[in-house]
Amino acid sequence: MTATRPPLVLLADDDDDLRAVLADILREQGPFEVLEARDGPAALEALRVATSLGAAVIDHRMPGLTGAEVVRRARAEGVSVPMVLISAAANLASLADAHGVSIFLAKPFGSERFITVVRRALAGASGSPT
Amino acid sequence: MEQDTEKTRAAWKAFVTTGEVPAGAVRPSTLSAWLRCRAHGVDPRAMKAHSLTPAELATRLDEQRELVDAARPYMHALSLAAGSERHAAMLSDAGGTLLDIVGDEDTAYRTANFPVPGALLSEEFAGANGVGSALAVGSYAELVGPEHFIEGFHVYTCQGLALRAPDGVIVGALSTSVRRLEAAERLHEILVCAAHGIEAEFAMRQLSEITSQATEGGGDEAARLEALRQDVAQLYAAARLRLEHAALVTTRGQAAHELVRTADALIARFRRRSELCRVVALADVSVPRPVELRGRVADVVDLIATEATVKGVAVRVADGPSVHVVSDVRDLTRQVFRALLRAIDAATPSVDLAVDVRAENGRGLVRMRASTEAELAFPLAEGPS
Repeated sequence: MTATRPPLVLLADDDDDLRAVLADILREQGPFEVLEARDGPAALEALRVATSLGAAVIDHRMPGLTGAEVVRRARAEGVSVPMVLISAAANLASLADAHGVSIFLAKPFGSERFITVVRRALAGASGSPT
Repeated sequence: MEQDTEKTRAAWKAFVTTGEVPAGAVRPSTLSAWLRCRAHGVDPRAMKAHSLTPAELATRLDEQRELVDAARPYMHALSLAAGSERHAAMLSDAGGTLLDIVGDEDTAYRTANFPVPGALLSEEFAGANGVGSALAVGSYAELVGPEHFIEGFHVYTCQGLALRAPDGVIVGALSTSVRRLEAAERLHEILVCAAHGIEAEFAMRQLSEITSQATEGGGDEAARLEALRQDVAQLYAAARLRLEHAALVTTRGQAAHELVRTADALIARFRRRSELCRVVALADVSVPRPVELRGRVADVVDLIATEATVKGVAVRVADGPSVHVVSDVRDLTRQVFRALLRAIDAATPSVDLAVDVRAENGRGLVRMRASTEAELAFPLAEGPS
């Protein structure tokens, strides 16, 4: 009998503290496997090469490329992975036209909400700012 | 512990009968609380707290909606950390009226005599207890079993902490009650961290209001300020999630001490950054006073760390002795903030921005050197610098 591997989730955030706790939550409360990226270009590269990704959680404000740019470029290259854009922007609706984002999630959020949103993304759901 | 409890119970009986206790029979904080209760004329034989009417409670909850909403995630974390133990996490307003309760089904919702929302838990009405005594002393209070003044609470151990708004005013209290005659250090540290988290939520809301007003006109400066607010919010988001995670780990019986400490350290960093962000967002002034320049510069560098990272610039403050200058600390902070942002903007990505703080010719200098050079100068304070 072969054990099913947990879904693989890309987590892109330049903030070490936030990325560390989000990774812990994904691994323990998912459970999911986590691939981490700490800037925009690394996130875009991971989206290009990690073919087994189930979903991606991408912070908007990152060095190199913003999260919205990462999503737009990845979509332009044919990446179809569901992508969650997280941001502390006061007006998340201003990012709502970011092309190709599956779900927006405003910071701060609780761990339960975070896991729920990632599960929705893995299930292929999309939605407006949440 | 049982012996201690019996000793306390005997001291309580003596106190409520005669107004006296043998020296050293109870903790000084407990005796102080009992003396306050006696002065208030609280009935020690009461079995439960008085309560608001449902209509009064509804009005109070409307008035305190912001506090209740801010505290909810932290009360859940506290409750989670208590695990399978019979417990309740409670939130009161500044007057000691219980606003919200989260706990196990039996304790929080089915126990006769246990306080429910609307209960008046100030010491004046309910005697010494985790909520009322924390409010009375304006900080932490811990009551184990018969240390509670009214008999109806003698089966509980309560730990409570006063909650303060960013301006220092007490806005309420957060407490935990467990049906056990022993205070738990594990819950104590999560309680303290959760209280700090609620206070941080208030600071975050205040900062959002201030930056929202300051950025109404739009423009580059407004965009920088909004980006800065997001960076501060990021830290708050990390702290809240880390505390929730610590609470979850605790329920699995694993040691969460380090995780709670990490959450508390993140909250402390958040508070420093949010205070600085507030200063740069406002144009208010203060009376000139001595300021340690190197530490202040380091704080501002920490505040703009994400902005520098996003721009691909590494900012390094050279080590050195303290430099004391005399200045309006708020104006100084804004000057350093703006000069650093200009230096980051002017710097070529991947180039280090070197910041040097020194005393020279009666002035405290801040020199910034990357692709360009800039300098700020402030008068030195008298005496050795």
